[in-house]
Amino acid sequence: MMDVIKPLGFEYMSINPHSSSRGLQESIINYSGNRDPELITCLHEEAAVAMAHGYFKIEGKPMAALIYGSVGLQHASMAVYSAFCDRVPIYLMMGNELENPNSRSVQDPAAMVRDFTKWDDAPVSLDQFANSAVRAYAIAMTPPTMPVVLSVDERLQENRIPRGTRLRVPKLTLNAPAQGDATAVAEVARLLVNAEFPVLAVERAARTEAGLSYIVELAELLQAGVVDTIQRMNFPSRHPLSQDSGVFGSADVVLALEHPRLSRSSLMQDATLLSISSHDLFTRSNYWDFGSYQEADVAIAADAEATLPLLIEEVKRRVTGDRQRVFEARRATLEDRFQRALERNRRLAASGWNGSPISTARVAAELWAQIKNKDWSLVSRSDGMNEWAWKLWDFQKYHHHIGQSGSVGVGYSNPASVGAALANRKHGRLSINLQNDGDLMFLPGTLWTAAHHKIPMLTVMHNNRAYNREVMWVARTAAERERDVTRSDIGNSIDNPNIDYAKLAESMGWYAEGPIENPADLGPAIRRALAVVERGEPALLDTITQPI
Amino acid sequence: MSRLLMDRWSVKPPSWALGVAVLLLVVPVGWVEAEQSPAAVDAAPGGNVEDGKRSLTTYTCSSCHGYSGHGGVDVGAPRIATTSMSLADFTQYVRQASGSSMPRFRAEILPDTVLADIYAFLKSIPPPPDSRSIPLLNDL
Repeated sequence: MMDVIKPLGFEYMSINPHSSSRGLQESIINYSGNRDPELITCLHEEAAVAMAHGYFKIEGKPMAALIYGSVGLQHASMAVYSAFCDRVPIYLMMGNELENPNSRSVQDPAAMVRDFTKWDDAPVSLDQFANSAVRAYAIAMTPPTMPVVLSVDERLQENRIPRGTRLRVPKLTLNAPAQGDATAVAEVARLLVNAEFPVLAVERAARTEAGLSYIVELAELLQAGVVDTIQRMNFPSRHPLSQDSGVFGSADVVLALEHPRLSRSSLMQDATLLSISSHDLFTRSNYWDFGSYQEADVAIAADAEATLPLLIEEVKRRVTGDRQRVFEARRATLEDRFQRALERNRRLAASGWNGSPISTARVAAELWAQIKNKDWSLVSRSDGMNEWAWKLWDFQKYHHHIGQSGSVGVGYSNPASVGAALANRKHGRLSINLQNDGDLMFLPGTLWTAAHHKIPMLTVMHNNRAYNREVMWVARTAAERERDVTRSDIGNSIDNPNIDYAKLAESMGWYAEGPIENPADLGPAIRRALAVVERGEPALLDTITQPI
Repeated sequence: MSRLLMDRWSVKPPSWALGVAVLLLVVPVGWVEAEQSPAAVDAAPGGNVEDGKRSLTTYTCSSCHGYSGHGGVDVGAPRIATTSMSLADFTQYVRQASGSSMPRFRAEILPDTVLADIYAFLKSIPPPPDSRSIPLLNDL
């Protein structure tokens, strides 16, 4: 089995140990020397999968996870769902014991996650395992990329191979991603060039650094605004063509790139909507992640990143001097709009600057001052902490941000950040995690994994001592019903007692400080924590923050 | 809430959240804007600053507007500290919210006296520092 797995090129395999994978685990340790893949010990299967999720978003290749096929997969299922929604390939292997009626085995273990995985198999021979293992990798990595599952029976792992058996390892050949139909791409180019005010709407458009460059090139060719949902690092945050969604109000043509949920209702009534998306090439139906039917005027079922070079060439062929002059005028309008937004953000960030608890804008600004000259990477969602990191930091490179979670499931962020930090480690990058308090408490054991495997990262808590969004919802409902709003914290607050996140982290081998309530204390604390991280260790600052 | 913000949420965010006032009952009263003067400045007639500080959390706005009313960009909640509104306008703002931005807080659940206290507290908070005077915001 390891002769099949090793050539697939996994650096790491996360594991929560279990008896039914002991044969494979022992082979990884001794036959393969615990290298490529190296086992990463996780204290929960959901953490094992979510770490692999975060790892992919930095490294661009899958990390394997090895868990138990029945109860282990039940634990892991939400993380598998997040990866599915986020179109992230996870290579999930599960131990099973079909010949043992007394075990907690399962007849068809992958059934539980089949609604949100791309492919699975339960091979019954080593030859079939070899084929399925290589096939699974190829399927997972073909856009739209998604998790795959291999159930590996204990017998296959442990039975001796009969003398004289001839086995071979299939060669892996990755599929080229689907490129858009040339005629349809040419029509999209024509509509964009002739538009008065085209806008690019991007969601999971950039799979790699190259994808980011293509989007910048297309936007600059057209001098078109770019509205980014930041599910990937699609477009630089400080680029003057980066716009908020208010720009849709002026758009006569909108090109949605890997953004199947962009609704026509969010655009001007007579706007032309174009779409390039791999979504319809493969999807599932039971768990909804697709939104309303898009009603695009031109819809291309293809991978956006693979299609952009062709689209860029088609646009270049059509741009005339007259159109160029129109484009330049448009650029001036968008630049002015961008600068006004930047100035507005600065002004808003000053509000509550010296307050305690600390404003989330202050946290982001204090961090930025100390990381901006380093090779940094935001390994958490940017839609927390009032989105201040995205508003104040200069995101340029693909590794600067891993995007959001996909499912918005609470519990993703902490393990995903550790997985992304693991991927950043060999590049010497500084990993920053803005960590919601409620999210951390789903899988706090992930802190131990980071310390045990010496994964350097700085975690800064957004500790508002509540599931604050839920407080909003309950209060909203109470006010509408004209009932008591003063009890909306019930079931939502995380206090009494307050959780001491610094002690929690220290107990698992992290450097930690906190609680930090005075904003003046934050800068020096960040400086001390960064010194620890730069020594190769994880550090956590428990900052007591405003609710939002 | 802007469409962009909507798009960034895979689940529907609280679109009403523009300025929704919510509570966190257990927040210490001492958590306020550090610039605040202990003496009420131009407070509402009859409003009690300390009670208003407490009620901002107990009854109203802290979850969206912050403990000192500094505002929440993510949920579109405006800064309400140092409000320039009159008490009458402020009351109307709370009582007749559009529903799409924040729910209406009727007098039955948020009495006039409490609202006057909150108003007094918000009025007592000095303006924020000029962003140009903050080096961290000018060297981004």
